[in-house]
Amino acid sequence: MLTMTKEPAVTTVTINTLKHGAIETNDDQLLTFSTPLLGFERLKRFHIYQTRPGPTYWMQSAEEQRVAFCLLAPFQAGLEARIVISPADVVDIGATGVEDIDVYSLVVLDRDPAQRRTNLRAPILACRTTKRAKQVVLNDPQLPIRFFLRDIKVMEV
Amino acid sequence: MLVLTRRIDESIVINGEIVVTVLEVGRNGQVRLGIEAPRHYQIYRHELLLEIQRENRDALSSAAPPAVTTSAPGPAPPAGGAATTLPTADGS
Repeated sequence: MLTMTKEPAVTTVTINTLKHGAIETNDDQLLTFSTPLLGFERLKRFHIYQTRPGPTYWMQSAEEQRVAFCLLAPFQAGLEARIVISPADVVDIGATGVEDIDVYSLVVLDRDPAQRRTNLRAPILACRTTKRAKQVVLNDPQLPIRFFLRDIKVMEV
Repeated sequence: MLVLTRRIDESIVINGEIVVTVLEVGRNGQVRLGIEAPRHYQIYRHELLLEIQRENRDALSSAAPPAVTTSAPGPAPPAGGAATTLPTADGS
């Protein structure tokens, strides 16, 4: 759910999140998916935010309050996954190069800590400048769809 | 669904620019296809996309309790990785 208030230069939006109540952000900070998440084709606009420093984030739909995902920034987490971003994907999200792109992977926060995992085969690419994003399916079969987080010494809080 | 019968080395053409050719038909029912298409077409095995879609839905379910529990085995992970603190399913 999204409430907008107009100010002279910046449009502020209030996003009602699934996990953390109402969050305010600037409209131009919302991500717009050019290629949607598989299975969530209706939803285009999301807000990525953090509740504490580190490689984990939350991605909240701006259009559907019930839709939120936990994300991992795999490179921030120290994973040595070889994620190759194609020039076509760079262009598609309007990035000037790979240094203009943030990479995230969706996390399954299973109640069983041994089953918590992230999908490195289909990461989310988000352009820092244009705020366009897409979920890409990489052709590298070495990248696991289920990379279990116990393998990177996940600590429960 | 459109159904066409083809033999080995015969093709179909989609939209004037994608050519799918039957290369081999194995005794076990396996069919090898050759696909010629412009580079901007993304071509995947259907089951891969279904698996990713399922994993996306599991990610959503786990963020919104009750969590979905799966026990599917995963492939070998990439090497490396630092200690990471994950949020709990209740968002804290």
